[in-house]
Amino acid sequence: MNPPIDIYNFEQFLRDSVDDFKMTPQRKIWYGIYNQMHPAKRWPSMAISLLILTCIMFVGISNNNNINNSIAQKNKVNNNNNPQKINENTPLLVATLLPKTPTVKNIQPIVNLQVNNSFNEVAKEIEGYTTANINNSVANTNVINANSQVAQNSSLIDGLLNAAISKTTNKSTTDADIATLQNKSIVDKASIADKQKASFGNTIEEDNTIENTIQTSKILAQNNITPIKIKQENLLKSTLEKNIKKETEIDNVAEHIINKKITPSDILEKENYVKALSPAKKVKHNGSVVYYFAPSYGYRTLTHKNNFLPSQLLKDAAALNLELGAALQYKLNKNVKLIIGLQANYTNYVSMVVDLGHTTPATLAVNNFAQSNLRTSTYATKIGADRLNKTTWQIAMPIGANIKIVGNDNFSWNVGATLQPTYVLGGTSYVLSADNQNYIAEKALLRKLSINTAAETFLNIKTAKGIHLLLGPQVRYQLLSTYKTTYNHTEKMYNFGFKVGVITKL
Amino acid sequence: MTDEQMLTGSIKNNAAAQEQFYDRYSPRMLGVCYRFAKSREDAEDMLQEGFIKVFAQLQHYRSEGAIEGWIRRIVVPTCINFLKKNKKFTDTVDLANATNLHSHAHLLPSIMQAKQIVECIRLLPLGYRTVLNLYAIEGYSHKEIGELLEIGESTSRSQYTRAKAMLEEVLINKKIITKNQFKQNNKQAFGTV
Repeated sequence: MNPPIDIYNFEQFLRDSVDDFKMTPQRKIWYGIYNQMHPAKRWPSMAISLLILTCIMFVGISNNNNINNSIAQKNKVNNNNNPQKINENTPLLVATLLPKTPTVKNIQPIVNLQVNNSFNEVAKEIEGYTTANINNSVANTNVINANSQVAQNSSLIDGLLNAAISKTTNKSTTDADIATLQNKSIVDKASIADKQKASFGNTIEEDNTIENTIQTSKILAQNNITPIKIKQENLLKSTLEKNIKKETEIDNVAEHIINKKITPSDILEKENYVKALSPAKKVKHNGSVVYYFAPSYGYRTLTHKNNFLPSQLLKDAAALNLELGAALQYKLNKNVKLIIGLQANYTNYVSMVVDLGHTTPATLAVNNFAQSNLRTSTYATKIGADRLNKTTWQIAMPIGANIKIVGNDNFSWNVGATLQPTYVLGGTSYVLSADNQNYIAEKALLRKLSINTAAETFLNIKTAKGIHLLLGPQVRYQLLSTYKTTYNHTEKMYNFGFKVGVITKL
Repeated sequence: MTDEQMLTGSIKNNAAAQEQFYDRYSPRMLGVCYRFAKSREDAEDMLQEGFIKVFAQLQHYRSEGAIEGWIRRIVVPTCINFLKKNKKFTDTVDLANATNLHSHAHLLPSIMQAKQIVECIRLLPLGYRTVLNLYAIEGYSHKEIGELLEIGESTSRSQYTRAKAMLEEVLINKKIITKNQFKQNNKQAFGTV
């Protein structure tokens, strides 16, 4: 078979043959060029992200201040009610190990330790709590003596007990207050009755309007016309019109496709597009984004601010944690990349509470630096399981750097470190009771703003498809306690995990 | 938008003008990049880098020749730099290996002649293909090629000779040309190499 071309000169033949060769680039190539030529247009999205982050932090700080103010306010009231002022140098810890089934004799002073804003509330709570427990009480009078921490702070406890007794003595005052409230309630009821009468007058006028509406409806019903029917007909009509319009459009498009002649250049273009079905286009510059997740094993260190060791009964276990996020990387030079990102953390560890299988009153001692005194609260803990999952949900902003130790674009070994300002969205908070023997659910003590730090080493591997994978171990450590400074234990979480990520160039 | 407005707008960093400029010249330039590149992805990377340079240097264009030629003079070295940077410009093959190419030739699409020839060129090892592209199609001299690829002028000549022989094999195998035609052509063409 003779070839269709004439080779008069090899170079000329090649030049002529390929001169008209064209390929249609993917649209994203232009976007890449555009981004490179007009880089300022990329900043709005980053600015919005930073703004959102700042707002979250602002809200966090505001919330933190509100809670602290609230506690301070509460304690101010308590100080007024408490005849014994607590010394500034008083140790942080007050503990009352309560009997698991409290008696009538010992329950009254214990309950009076609760922080309340008024005598009325105190009286009601005492009444309710005592009545509820009398039926179930078993004599047990030696438990308070068994508490060594109470012994250490006996003078303080005495003061608080005296305060409680004086509150109970004032119960007659409380009764008088209740009587006043009852009188007020009667006056309020009379006022409500007047308002109801006035409302009755308005109701007559409204009835006339309703009557008119009923008449109109009757007329419509006699003619077999209902407002709903009218609406339905209108809706049906408009839907039909829309459908007809759509069908016409489809017919026009089909006609256009049928009539269109396929030219060789169309075929060439189509073939080029088939080739173009390749992975996402990469824009060449110094920025890149890494998307990552890091399952990890998380645990915590626990220290007491007064150097008391936690009870030997407390047993905790590590649990699975997760980190998920994205970070912008900026290539500072050949080996160093700066990082800033946003990530979500889920932290978790487990406390074993086998010995606390039923409701147990326990006391929480917290320090209030603003008032230089001590706040105590009594909680009835309800432990319904053998394991308590202590979890937090966090949003963090890692800021740091990665350094390439060795390797090239296809394969490299790197190390990195970040500092992570963190906002705690929420979680389950079980804090230790004053005697270190029990757990109390107290979310208000969770610290909202914290700082984590992370160090990692990883391999950056370029796959056959041009995707950069990031694989390596990481360790994360929480620099601030999980709880606020008012809590007299310091808990710091740490995680050992494995980070997996994908790097895409901007 | 007229050609002059398009050019002036592109120099002034006007996005609309630059887009029009890109739309006009990118298909042909992608064809150029594709001949040098190992894959379509690489070709598009080259195109992107090339056009960024074109826009950056457009203010130096003096309207002394066709703008397309001027763009080519920026895009082609960009392709070479891309190959060097990504260490793709290392593999060479001798003529003995050319037989392997024949087994792949039947995979070529038989749609258009230009496309077929480009695909035949792309079957060559990267080193040969680059020299062939630069010399036979882009019109560079062996001296220029030597400087661009950081190889000797004589190396460029020998690579081109081998590339040409290899391409002949492929074209004959693909039945785009016959052996006799090529021999006739060689008698005339070797004098210019």
